[in-house]
Amino acid sequence: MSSFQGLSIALSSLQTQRRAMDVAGQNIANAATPGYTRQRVETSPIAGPRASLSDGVRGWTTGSGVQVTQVARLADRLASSRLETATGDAALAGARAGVLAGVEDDLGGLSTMSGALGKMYGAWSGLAIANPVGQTGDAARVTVVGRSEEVAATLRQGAARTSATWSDVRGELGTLTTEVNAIASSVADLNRLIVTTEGTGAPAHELADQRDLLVRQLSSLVGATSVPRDGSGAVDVVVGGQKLVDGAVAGSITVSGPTAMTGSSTAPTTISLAGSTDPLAVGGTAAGLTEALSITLPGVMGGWDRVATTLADQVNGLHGDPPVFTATDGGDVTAATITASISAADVKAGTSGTDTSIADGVVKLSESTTGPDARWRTFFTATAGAASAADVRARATASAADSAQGVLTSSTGVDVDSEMVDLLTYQRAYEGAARVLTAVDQMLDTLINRTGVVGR
Amino acid sequence: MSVSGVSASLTGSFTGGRATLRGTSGAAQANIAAAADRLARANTAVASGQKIQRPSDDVVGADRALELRRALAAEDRYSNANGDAISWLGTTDTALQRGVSLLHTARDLAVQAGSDANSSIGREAIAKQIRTLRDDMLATANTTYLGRPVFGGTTGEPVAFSVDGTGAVTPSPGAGGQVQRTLAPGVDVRVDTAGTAAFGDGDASVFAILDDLATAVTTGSAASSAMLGELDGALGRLTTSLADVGTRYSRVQSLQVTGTQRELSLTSAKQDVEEVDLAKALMELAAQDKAYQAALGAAAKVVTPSIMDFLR
Repeated sequence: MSSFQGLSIALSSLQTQRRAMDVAGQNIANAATPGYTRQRVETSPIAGPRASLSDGVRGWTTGSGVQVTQVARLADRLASSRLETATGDAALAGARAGVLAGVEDDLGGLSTMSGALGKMYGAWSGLAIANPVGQTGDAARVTVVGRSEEVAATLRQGAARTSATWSDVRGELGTLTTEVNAIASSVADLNRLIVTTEGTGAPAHELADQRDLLVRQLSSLVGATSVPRDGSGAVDVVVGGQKLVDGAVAGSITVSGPTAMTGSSTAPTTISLAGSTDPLAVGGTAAGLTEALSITLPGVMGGWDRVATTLADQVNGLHGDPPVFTATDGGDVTAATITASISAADVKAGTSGTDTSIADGVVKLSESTTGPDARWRTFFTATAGAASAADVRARATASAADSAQGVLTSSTGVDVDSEMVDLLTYQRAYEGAARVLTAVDQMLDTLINRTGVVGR
Repeated sequence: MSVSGVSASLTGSFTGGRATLRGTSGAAQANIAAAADRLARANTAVASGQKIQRPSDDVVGADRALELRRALAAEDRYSNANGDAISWLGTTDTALQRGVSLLHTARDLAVQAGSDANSSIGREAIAKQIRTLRDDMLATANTTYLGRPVFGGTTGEPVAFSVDGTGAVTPSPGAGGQVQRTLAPGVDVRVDTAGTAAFGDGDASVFAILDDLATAVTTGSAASSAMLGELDGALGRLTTSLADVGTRYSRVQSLQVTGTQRELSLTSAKQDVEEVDLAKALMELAAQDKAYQAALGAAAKVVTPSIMDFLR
């Protein structure tokens, strides 16, 4: 055993404690960094050199100090994949709730449509009360046309807003696709860097943190989940059972379907991987948006249309020729095309003389359980109900995602207090090692400089 | 619009196990945001006075509100129709009373003509008076309200009875139709009065009877007295119509009263559904304010201390 082994033991400790303090410092520095995963220095004792007979110190040897075996990244695979799923679910529910909240706004609240209908019935009732063959009747007819057009305009506005919402959502889906493709190629790049860096034996923990954050963005956007690749630090990103990122190779997604709304019969919008025509079962915001484009908004347009056709059919049926409501394009009446095209002089209160059976009939539609009011009420309540349910679901899933984030943060985040305690421990160990160094130095000093002068 | 913007801070987040810096501060932030959200809702409720900010806040309430608004709009129409019905029936009542008084005068003249003391000049004068009464009666039967003859049903003509070249009085075409007003849900009340029922038809009409009476008066006393029976018949028809109009008038009036009550109860129901109880809303606001302050205070206490404070 070398006389200088004490020095090298002290040195290994000094080096190890410094490395450990560096890692604690890195942890503390990133205590507030989003997505940072705490690291820990793992140390092990170094075994002593094999004892040789010539040492004359038969039977026992000391170890040769301490070494850093690895700097571990304390990732939590389970919590992280739970967070990916929860994030995707929350984004899907959030997108759904967002679309329905917009649709609900487009309804115009309690008063717009039902107010317009009420005024229209009031105008017909006014025509019945006024003398239909006198001057008061002429004024009442003008009012009937004006109020009817007001109802038609409200319906047209509803249809136009629904179309505009559809276009907004379509635009947002396009932006989302671009974003997803950009993030996917970043993830692939990071995968490559991680594999290369780890190949040199150096840790790539910070790169992995950065990549996991990006994957979580993909979870939110398209419901992606990550699957670790065997034997390397890289991950595959899977969407709907297919690989969006395959190690260092990034795929891309495209949107197919109509680019503008064509009423309630709008064809479905789908997302597929580039190079494939099969629709991809996406999750996250993308799923919420495609659902809105394919099902929700065409359904809403159908609701507006039902009110418009009911109104036109029933009022026109009572009024006879010429019809009160027609389509601006000359085709079938829909919410987008309905208009009160009749001229005031053609409005009939009744079949002959001062008969007011037509006007009375129209007013009675307001009480009918299959009339325009009832249709509107059904549509309004159904939409509000769907919005309410979607909102509840969005809150619940957002809460679940928060909770999953909490679990992950609690397991992989930095606890400054414990890092401080670690730091103190390493500091003391460093001081101790320095003290050992001094002691060995003094011993050697005694041995080298004081030999032969003892007692002189 | 942003459709994916659902607040991530709707509920307090979970922090279990290790208390990490991001975990603790994130949870504190989420709790503060949730409290602020509830405070903002309470504030909006007080400021707007509306219980239903969005239909999805209270779907059942919104549905009820829609129905109540529809019912209130209908009440508005009933109330208008009611005023109109009262005017129709009032005008009719006045006309019929005038008709009755004209017939009383005619009857007095018939009785007077029944006396043999009248000279032929006197009889001619009485006959002339009776013919004037007949014209007055025709004018009464053609009484209009808002340009519509009240005894003309749904005729398009300006009069209920027209006179042809020979002096014969005939009801206008379309006079058989009824004018109805809806005064309450499912309650239609007839506001016109059939001209033929009140004034008679053809040879039995009050106009024909008065014509006959004028002729009879010039003929002699016996002929005049013989007309008294027919006059009483015409009078009977008028008073029957008068009674009928009176009944309908009082029905319309009572419907007006119940309509006003119904409107009041609908309005109060609508307020219950749509408007906030201010006292309750203010209590809620105060409670949410306290909760918000508490969340802020708790966050300040939780985030501040660390072991650094104790290492010197």
